[in-house]
Amino acid sequence: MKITIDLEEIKKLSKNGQDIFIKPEAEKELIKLLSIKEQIEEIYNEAKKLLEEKALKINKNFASIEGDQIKISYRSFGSKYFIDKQGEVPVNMINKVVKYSINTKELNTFIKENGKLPLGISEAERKKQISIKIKK
Amino acid sequence: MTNKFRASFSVLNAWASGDWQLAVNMYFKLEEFSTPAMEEGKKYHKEWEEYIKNNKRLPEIFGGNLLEKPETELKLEYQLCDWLELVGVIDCYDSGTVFEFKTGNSTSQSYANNMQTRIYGLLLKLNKYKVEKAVVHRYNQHNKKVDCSYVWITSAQLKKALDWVETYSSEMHNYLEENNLYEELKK
Repeated sequence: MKITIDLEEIKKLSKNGQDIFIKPEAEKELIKLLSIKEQIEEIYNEAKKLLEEKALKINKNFASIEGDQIKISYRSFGSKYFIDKQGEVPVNMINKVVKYSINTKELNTFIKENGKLPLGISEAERKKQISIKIKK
Repeated sequence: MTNKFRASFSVLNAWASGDWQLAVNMYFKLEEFSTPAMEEGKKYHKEWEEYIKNNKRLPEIFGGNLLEKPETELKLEYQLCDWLELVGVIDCYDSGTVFEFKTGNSTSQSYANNMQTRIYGLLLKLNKYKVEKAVVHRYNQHNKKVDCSYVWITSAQLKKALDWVETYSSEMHNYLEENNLYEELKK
């Protein structure tokens, strides 16, 4: 399969996609852009899968390989351990964590009645981001 | 008499990390540096060295790959310039590959990240050996796990190694000279 990546054409899709604010047909440009992104992601994931297979064939204990500009690492993510039997873990090996979360129902009632937030609770500054999804 | 600086990875690494006193102590062998972990590491190294010599293969724990003409504990030196000599002892060299064997908790990746394999590649190249890559095999004797990392020893990596050696050697050599430590501590 021959893949030709014309970055200028891809950039055009992005530029033309801005017209979605003017005409609904412009969504076709964004759909094409998303399709290209999906295909590239598939190819990238396939490349990672093939690299993993090849690495483990060469050495089942493979951890990394690096060149001048690329480093490929093979590692686990997430917590290394978990508690599987709550009552039997030695006490000195666990930390008890108390987690607080906002009772939004109570909070909304308070705001309605008082027109402001109670002391001790603030609104987080959340940055807005654009996301583009294809509707099913 | 002009003092000459014998650069090795371990001394320069201590210097580069800011542990100047350790670097000086190591350079002049002022203290015996050994911990139980280091002694255990030496024991494993000796076993692996013997295995490679007798079997012409990597130790089974590292895959047991056949080797062509392995040279273990390969000691190399090279006079880089009139005041600077680079030295190193490579765990195993075979057909363009540097093999380094490690024990303990630090991953093979962390060893592959540092300059040691690149410096060994540089020493090999300067001594007219073929050098393509380095492989760091690590055995964690505490949890019995093994991992390994590869480094391509390209001309860019060799240049990086040379720059690193020259930079830190020059710093340390100047420090030793300015503080008269060659004369004081060589005794």
